[in-house]
Amino acid sequence: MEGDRENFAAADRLARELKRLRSNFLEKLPGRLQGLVEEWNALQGDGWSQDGARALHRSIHGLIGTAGSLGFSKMAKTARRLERQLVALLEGIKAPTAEMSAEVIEWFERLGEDATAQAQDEIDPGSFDSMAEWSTPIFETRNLIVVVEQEDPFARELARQLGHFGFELQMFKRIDDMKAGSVERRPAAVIMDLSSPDGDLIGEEVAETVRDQLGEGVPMVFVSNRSDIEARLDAVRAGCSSYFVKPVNYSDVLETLDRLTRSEPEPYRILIVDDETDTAEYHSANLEAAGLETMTVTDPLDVMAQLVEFQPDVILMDVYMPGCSGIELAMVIRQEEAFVGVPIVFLSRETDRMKQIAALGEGGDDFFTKPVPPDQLVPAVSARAQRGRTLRLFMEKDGLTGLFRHSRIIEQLEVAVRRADRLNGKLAVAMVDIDGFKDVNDEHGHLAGDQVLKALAYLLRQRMRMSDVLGRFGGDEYIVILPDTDGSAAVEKMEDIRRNFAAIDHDTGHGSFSVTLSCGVAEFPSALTSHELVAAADEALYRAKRGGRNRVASAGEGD
Amino acid sequence: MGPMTLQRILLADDEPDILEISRIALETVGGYEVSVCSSGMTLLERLAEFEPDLVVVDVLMPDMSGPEVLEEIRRKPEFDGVPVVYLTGVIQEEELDSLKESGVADVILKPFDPMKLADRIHGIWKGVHGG
Repeated sequence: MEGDRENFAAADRLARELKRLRSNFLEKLPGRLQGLVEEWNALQGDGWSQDGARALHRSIHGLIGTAGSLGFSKMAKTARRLERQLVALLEGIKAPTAEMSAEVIEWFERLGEDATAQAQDEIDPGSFDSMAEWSTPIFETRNLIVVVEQEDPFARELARQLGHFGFELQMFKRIDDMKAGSVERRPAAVIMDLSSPDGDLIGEEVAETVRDQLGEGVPMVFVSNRSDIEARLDAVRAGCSSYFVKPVNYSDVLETLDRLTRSEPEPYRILIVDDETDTAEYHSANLEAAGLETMTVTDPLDVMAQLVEFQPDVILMDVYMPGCSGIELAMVIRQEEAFVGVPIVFLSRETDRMKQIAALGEGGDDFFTKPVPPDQLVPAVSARAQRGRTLRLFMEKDGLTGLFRHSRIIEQLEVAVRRADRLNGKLAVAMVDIDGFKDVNDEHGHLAGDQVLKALAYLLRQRMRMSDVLGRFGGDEYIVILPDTDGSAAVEKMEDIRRNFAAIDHDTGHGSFSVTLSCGVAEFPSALTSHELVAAADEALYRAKRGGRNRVASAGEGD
Repeated sequence: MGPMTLQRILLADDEPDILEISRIALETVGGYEVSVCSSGMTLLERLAEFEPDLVVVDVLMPDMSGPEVLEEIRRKPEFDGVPVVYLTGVIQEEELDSLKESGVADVILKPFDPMKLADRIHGIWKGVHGG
């Protein structure tokens, strides 16, 4: 019943959680192996006991399951062989001979070597990406919208318009027809016309039916003939997300659906930098219990790599650390343009208020004396994170379309190129430009122009995968980054966007018009750097324009 | 006759990491309400309070084995119908057969793919309740 889009988000969350568990596991492993060897040594000679051997067996058995489930397959296999050795020993009741003992120790050593090897190649973030890949499909599943509407022409027009944007629609004439079994999967939203020849529907009753038939939490959009405040109040009380009075403007409905179907916000990410593991764990546990995501760095010199990888909303940093102080580290972080906006909260055992204030002068945003009790830590960090994220979104996203701005999308492209390079993976870039956009503004006005720009953003958001990155490059030019996609698949995908965009009717209030787009596609590694990819896609776009517009051209095909 | 939708899962394993992986996998991907315990004893104590729709239990735990836990659950009339699923490390074919004969709904082998755990449990649930 769950929407696939939700599933991707869930898989993504799980992949991140697993990543955290994997690094925890590797971190604790040397100590754990050491403990097992000690247990084994204690069993030698007179120390032999069946119970002791069984306990050791259980620990190793557990290690196989954990290592394997976390994706450390080589380690799991080695542990499995070690287990077999042990089982063979358990069958005889006597203590192992020196020879057998040496063999078991040898297996432990191999296990340790595997762990070191895996720590190097598996903790590489690329392998987590590839772990997430098996759950990421090549094509997205469409958002299902359920529409209950009696009026034929209106329903048909709505279906036609929404269909172009990549929504899948399921229509019912009457609310009674909308039974749980008849709806294919959990819809992203329900559009419900309250007007009916047999008398208007009551919002509260409609809401109850929707909850019963489709489950809790499906957003409702009401459409009605009534514009009076009582009708609107009823709708709000029934829990509807949006209320439209007929005649309905389709672009308003689209804007609402676009908003309702965006993925839910991710939890705030907090990077904890503290060389005292216990304190770091205490803070981390408290934050995670409150639903925040944390990552702990115990060596301050590792912080820059984690900043890029983890993209924290707040940095929680100890002031006194070996190697470099938190204040120095804050200055280094602030020198990176991308991290100027990330709030830094200092922690220290320092109670000297003057020293604390001095620390704030060096790029810190707040100061706490540690350990910080959870009832202070969680609200303070959450509030900072919220502000930090709003600020970042404001800096990163284009206000009109909600897509990434130029500078940010180039950064994203560089990350995507590095990843493709590391994994020998595929990557495509598409540049999109609206045909004759200046004429749209001239003929229909700037409001209509904005509507067209937004329509393309909605279409891209609905049709492209969650893993695709969308940006507004400037004016009426857009860029799409398609990871794990080769040039020909990207062309196919963009052809689909082109066809659908051309079919959209842009409503001006007195008539409607349609617009086309042109697109150029380039792929990695034919173009090797972000700069080359953009240039090659741009060149292909130019060829598409010259070839007569309303088409998709691929880099390298025309020369 | 149990409830028709699977919501609450009670899980016991003595490996903290496996417990954590399973809990997160079942919560995030499956959307289930999950309660975890690190021993068979704790699981039995928590039954009445948590009222699980389904129980997942490790076969090899220090205090009680999976089959022992299953036997105890079956002694309680109010939980007699609750499906029980075993989690177990890689074992011999004939061990697997004997486990399956002990009246479990199914056996999940460790290591498992965390991404697919929720689907697997959902499938087992549907098998039991004919959904």
